[in-house]
Amino acid sequence: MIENRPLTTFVSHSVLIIGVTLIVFPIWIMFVAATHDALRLTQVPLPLLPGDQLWANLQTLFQGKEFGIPIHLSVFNSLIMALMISVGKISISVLAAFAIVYFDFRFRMFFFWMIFITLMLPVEVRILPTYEVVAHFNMLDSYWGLSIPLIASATATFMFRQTFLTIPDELMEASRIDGASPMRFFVDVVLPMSRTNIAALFVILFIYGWNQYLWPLLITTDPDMYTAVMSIKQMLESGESEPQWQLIMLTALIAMLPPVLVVVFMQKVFVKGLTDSEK
Amino acid sequence: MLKRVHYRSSYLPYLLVAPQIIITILFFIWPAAQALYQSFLLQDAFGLSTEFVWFDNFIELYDNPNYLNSFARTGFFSLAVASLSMGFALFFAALADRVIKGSHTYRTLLIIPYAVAPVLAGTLWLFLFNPTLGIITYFLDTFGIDWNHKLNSAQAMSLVILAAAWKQISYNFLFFIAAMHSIPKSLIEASAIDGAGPLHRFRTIIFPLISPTTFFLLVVNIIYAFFDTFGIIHAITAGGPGNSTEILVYKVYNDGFVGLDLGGSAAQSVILMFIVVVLTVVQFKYVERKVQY
Amino acid sequence: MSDIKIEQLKKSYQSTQVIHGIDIDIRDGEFIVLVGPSGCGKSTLLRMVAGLETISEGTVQIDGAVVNDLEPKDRGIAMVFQNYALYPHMSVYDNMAYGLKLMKLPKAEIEQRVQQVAQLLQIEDFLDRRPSNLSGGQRQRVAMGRAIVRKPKVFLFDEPLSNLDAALRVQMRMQIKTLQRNLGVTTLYVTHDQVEAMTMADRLVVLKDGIAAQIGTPMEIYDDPHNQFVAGFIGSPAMNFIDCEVTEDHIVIGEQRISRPPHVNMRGKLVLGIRPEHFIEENTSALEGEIEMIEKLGASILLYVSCKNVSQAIVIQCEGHLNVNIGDTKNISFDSHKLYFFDPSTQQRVY
Repeated sequence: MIENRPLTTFVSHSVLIIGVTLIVFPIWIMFVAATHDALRLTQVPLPLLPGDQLWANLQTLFQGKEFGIPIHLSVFNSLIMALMISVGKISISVLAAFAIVYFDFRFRMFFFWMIFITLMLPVEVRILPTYEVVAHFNMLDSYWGLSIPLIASATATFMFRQTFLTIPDELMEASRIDGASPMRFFVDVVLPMSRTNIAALFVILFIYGWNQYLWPLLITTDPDMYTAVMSIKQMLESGESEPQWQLIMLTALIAMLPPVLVVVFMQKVFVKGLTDSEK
Repeated sequence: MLKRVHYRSSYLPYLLVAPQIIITILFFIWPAAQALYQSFLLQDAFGLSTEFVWFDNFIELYDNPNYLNSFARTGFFSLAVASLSMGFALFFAALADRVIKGSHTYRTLLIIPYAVAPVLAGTLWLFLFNPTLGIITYFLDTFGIDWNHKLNSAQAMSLVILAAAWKQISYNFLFFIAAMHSIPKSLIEASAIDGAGPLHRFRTIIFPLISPTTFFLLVVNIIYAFFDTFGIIHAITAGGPGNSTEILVYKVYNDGFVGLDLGGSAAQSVILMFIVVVLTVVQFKYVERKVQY
Repeated sequence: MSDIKIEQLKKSYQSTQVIHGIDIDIRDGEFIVLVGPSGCGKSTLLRMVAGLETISEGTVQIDGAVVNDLEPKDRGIAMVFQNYALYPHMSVYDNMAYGLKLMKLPKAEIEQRVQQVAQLLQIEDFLDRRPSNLSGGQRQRVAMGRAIVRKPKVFLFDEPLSNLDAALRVQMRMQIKTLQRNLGVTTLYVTHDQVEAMTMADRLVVLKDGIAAQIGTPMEIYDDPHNQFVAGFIGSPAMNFIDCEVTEDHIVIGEQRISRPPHVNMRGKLVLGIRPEHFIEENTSALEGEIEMIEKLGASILLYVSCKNVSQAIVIQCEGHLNVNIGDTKNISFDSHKLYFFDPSTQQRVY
C-alpha cells in the first residue's frame, strides 16, 4: 500500500465482503436447500439457515430410484470422464508439442496448422456430425464416447509448445552428449521441467471435463452412463409436480464439489497456469 | 517455432503426433467437413431423399426473421454478459489489489463460480428466482416486483445474463488481478508522489495500463457467452419463453436435435464456425502483439 | 592417447558457407584455443567436433577414427557449455551421474567417480543441492565436473567463463588450465577473449570468417603474425596500424618522415604495424605528435597521440609514473626491429 488510509482500507474491505457474500450467496442457498425436506421447500419464504435433513436426502440420492442412477455411480462416471479427458488431453498434447518443437520432419507445419484449427471448433458447434461419427464407431453410451471426442486440444498443445521453447537448447545438447535418446530426454528432462504446467493444465482440464453437459446429454441414453452434472437436467424435468428441490440442490452440491475442491486446493498452480496459458 | 537445435529421426515424430492428429481428423476435421457438406443439402421431412441445394440453406437463414432475431439476441446477450461480469470483476480486483490482509481469502471465494458447471449455475439461479418459491422472488415481491421469467421474456433474458455473468466473474477477476500485479510498483509510487489519490490513480494509471487485458477479456467473454452458456440456458429457460432466450448455439441444437432440420442446423453451425474463426484470429492477433512487447 | 585431426572441414547452411575448409592437427594432451570475433565460426567448429552440428564436408578424426557419423555420446567427448546447461530439476550429484547412468555403469562405480571428481573440484559439499542454489562459479565447476566424470578422450569448452565476473574469470582460467594439465586430456576451448586465449593455450587457432587465419603457440602468433587481422586481434592494447610510404631513404608518415632502417627492404605504400609496448623513450625524436588523451592503468600509462595527417591516434604504452598532460607535444621513437609491414590491399604481412 502506498499511503496508509485506514478509512479507505476499511471501506475496501467492507465492499469486498459484501461483494463476496453476494457471489457466494447462491451456493449457500444451495447448501441450505439440500438440508431440508420436501415439505419445508414448498413453504414461502424458503429457509436461509440449514436444516437437519441432509443425511436423509443423501440416502435418497444413494438409492437413486427416482432418477435412474444412484449419485455415487454418476459421480464415479463423472470422475472417469473427467480423468480420461484431462489425462488424455495432457498426454496427446505433450507428445505432439514435443514432436513439433524438437523434431524437424516433413509436414511439421501442416500438422501444426491442423492442430491449430481445432482451437476454433468448440464441440457445441460441430455437435451433430460429431455425434454421427461417435455413433458410427459404436461409442455411444461408453466412457470412450464420452471422453475421446473431447481430448484433442489445441490449447494444451500450444501451452506445452510455449513451455518447451523456454527450455534452453543446451540442455538438449548436454543430454545428447550424456547419451540420452530423444525419448530419454523427454522423460528425464522435458517432463520434469514441465511439472508446474502439467499440474495447472490438469486443474483446468479436469474442470472442463467434469463440467461437460451437452455432450454427455446427447450420447448417453443408458442411465448407468449418466454423469453427475447432466443428471440434474433429468431431475428438473422428471415428474409433473414441482421438482424435488432438496434433492436437486444436494445433487448440484455434490456435482460441484470435486471441481471446487480441485480449484481451491490447487489454487496457486491453477491461477498461474490460467493467466500464463492465455497470454 | 522449431528449436535451433533439433533431432532428426525418420519415424519418431510421426509416432508422437499421431494420436493427436488421428483424433483431430476423426472428431474435428471430419465432422466440420460433414457440417459444411450438410449445409448444402436439403432433406425431406421423412429423411427419405436428400437434394444438393447449394446455398439455399444459407439464403433461407438470411430470409428467416427468427434466425436474424436470434443473431441480434446473441449479440445483446454476449455484450451484456461481458460488461456485467467484467465490470464487477474489475471493481473487485481494484479493491482486492488495494488491501493486503485477506486478499487470499477473497480470491479463494471468488474463484469458486469458475468451477461450477454452467448447467449447475443455471439450476442454482433458477431456484433463487423460482416464480413461486424462489428466495429472491420473495424479496422482489416485497418490493412490489412480480417476477416470472417463464412468462416475461425480458425477465428471462435478465436471468440468463445474470447466471452467465456470475459464472464468469472468477475468470475475469483472476486476469484483472494478475494484470494489476504486473504494473510496476514504481509507477504507482511515482503517481502517488505526484499527489494522485487512489481513485485518480486508478483512472489515469491503472486502467489505461490494463487495457490490453481488458480487450483480451472482452474477446474471451464474448466467446464464452456465444458457446459456453448452453447449459445455463438449457436449465433455466430452454430458449423460452417463445424464443426470447434462444441464442445461436442453442438454436443449432434445437433445430438439429429437436426440430431435425439437418441442413438448416448445419448451415448455422458453419456460420458459427466462421464467427469462432474470426474471434480466434482477433484473439491471436492480440496475443502476437503482446508477445512482441 | 587421443589426438584429433581435422581435415578440410566445411559447414554450409542451405546456400551459405560458414566454415571454409579448416585443417588442424591436435596432439594428445594439447590445449587448443579457438579464438576469434563473434561470427567467425569458432563455436560451429567446436560443435562439429562434438557432433552437435552435422559436417558438410571434410573429416574429423579422433584417435585415427573418422567420427563424422557418430553420435556425440559415441565420440568420447565431454562438453562444458557457456550457460553450463545443468539440468535444473536434478541435484548436483544427479547432474554429474546422469551420463554415467545412461552408460549403464554399476552404481558403486558411479558413486565413486562422482565423489572423486567432486573432491577434485571442491564441490563435495553441494552434491545434494539444485543448480539454482549455487553461485555462478560453483555452477561452472559442476559443469566441469559433469564433463570430467565421463573420463572423456577430449574436453570441449564453449566460452565457459564468459558468464562469470572478471575476478572469478581470472581465477577459473588458471584452475581449468591446471586441471587440464594434470588430467592430460586433449582440449578444445572456444573464446572470444584474446587474453584468455593467450594465457591458456598451448596453441591458438585464430579464426576469421570461417578460415583459420593462423595456427601457432601464443608467442609465435604474438611475435610473428601472418596478417593484419591476427596482428590486431592478438595483443592488448591492440597494435597500431599507420598508413605509410617507404621510399629509398625514408618512411613517410603523414607529413613527417623518419629515416628508413636499413633492414626494411620493402618499398611503396604499406601499413606500418607497431605494438604500443614497442615504442622507446629517446630524446631524439622520430615523429612528433600531440597528446590527445591519457589512460592511467597504474603499472603503465597509455598515451593517445595524434600526428598531423595521420587518421588515427597512435597508442603508446609508457612507464606508469610518466609526468605528462593532455596537449603536450610528444616525441615518438620506435624500436626499429619491432616493426611490421602489411600490404594494404591483401592485408598480408610483407615484412
